[in-house]
Amino acid sequence: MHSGASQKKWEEYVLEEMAAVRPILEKHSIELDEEQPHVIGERAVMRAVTTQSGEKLVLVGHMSPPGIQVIVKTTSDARGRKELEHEKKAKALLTKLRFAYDVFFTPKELIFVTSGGRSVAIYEFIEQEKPFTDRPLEEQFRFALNAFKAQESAHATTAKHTRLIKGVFDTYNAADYCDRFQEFKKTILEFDPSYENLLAEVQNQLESDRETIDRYGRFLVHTDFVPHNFRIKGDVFYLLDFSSLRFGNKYEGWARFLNFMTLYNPSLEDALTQYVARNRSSGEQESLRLMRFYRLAELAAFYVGTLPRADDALKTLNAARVSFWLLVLETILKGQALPESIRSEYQRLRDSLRSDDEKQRQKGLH
Amino acid sequence: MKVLICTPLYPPDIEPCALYTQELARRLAETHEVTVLTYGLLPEPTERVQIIGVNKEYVLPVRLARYAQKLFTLSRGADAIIVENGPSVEFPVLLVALFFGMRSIFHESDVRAQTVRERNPVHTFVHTLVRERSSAHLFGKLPERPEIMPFEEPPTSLQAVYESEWTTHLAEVNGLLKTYA
Repeated sequence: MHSGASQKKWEEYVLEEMAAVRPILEKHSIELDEEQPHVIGERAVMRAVTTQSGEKLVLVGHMSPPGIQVIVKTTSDARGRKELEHEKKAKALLTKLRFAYDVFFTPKELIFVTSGGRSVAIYEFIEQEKPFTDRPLEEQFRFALNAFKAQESAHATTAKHTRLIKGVFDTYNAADYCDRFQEFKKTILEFDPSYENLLAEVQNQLESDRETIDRYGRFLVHTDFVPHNFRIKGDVFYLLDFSSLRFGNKYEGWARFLNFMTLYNPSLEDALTQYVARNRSSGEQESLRLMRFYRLAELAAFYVGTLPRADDALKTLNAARVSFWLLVLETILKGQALPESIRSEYQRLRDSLRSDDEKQRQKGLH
Repeated sequence: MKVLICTPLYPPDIEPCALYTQELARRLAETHEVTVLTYGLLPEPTERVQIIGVNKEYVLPVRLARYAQKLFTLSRGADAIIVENGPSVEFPVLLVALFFGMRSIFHESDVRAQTVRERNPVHTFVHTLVRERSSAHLFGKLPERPEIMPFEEPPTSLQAVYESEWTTHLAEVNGLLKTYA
């Protein structure tokens, strides 16, 4: 465990929340499991990069009868409650959108309770045969591509579409991406001013290509599309965390996924990049490149933001993460591939700095 | 020959009829001067093709009126007009045809639009009128470009079929253009 005030505060928060939610769960014959993999390790300091990031707990439990495993999301935090309610509304609306041709599979919501300033959402647990990253490369590619195509089938283009999604989904256009990038740049430069030239060059490309970003805009995107946010059972792909859905550039989700795979599975990153290069227009390829810049700067800024809360080894690790992801940004800007030596050197450093709890949390996460 | 293609969808829309229209425009532009009238503020640029977009954000009546207005202007300078089916194009086409006697080659390619139309008597009525007032009809399944996938052999035989379908289709379109221009 990480020492320090942040960790202690988190542990107290977890105990209080679990004590508060237990009576509600008991009414629905749900008992929390002894082991709670989603509250340990770096979870004390990290929050999701892109969701509304309220305080909430994700817990594992069992409902009996019928004796099934369930996922419990609980929060008494105002932003956390907003996030849960947003997820509920998003799920409901997506099934009604006539312009979304492909239906997403998502774990069934079993119970949603609001009581005494607390929201609790209980979902069925989707048991998967094996984690995504343990599947053969061809299978990973097929599942990822089909999921992207399903997202792309929802394209909000008319005034009627805009009215339908308003109030439920955020919509990002080029101006929003550029404004957010400016914030990321400011955060990163406060941490390390030596990135000034790199970030200025990227910002210049984003600004001068606003039209390309907007041309492929208004598509449904899952902004945190990484393996821990989906599960595969049989041949069915379940998308989790609907609070990360918004309408924006169609390659925003691709970008998050490809950046993730730069570290975890470069062969998959390469296969998806090749797919776009061979089957999609030059404008779309450029759009993907710009979104990768945006998401990498976002990731680096996110880790900078965790530094004041992190202690000891985690602080060193997160500073290394900032450097690593900005190096990835630089190599993509130069049109190069990340050297394997840099990737493995970073992985070695990361593994040496990760706590035992975090190593435990990472097992089966992807 | 100056060819005007009227379509409800064009990339970045991803529906098959959008991709088909872009491919038709690209191929016709090798021998004709091609203009595409579509919906959307930022249609995907296509080499040698002029693309005019009508903002989809307008409320429906305004959107249709703007499309009709642009169609009227563009139709004056066109030798031939190809109309892709879909209510958002058929309404303006009917308006211009009724008031200004515009004739066109009507291409019924969008299967989804046909399904939606069958549930709506007004759409069906407009569609019938557009068909009746058009000079020629085109039907048939759209050629779909085979994807080139990693981990698989290049789909050379499917690509050959795709090219052959396009050669046949383009000959049919060019024949109609010559006849009805």
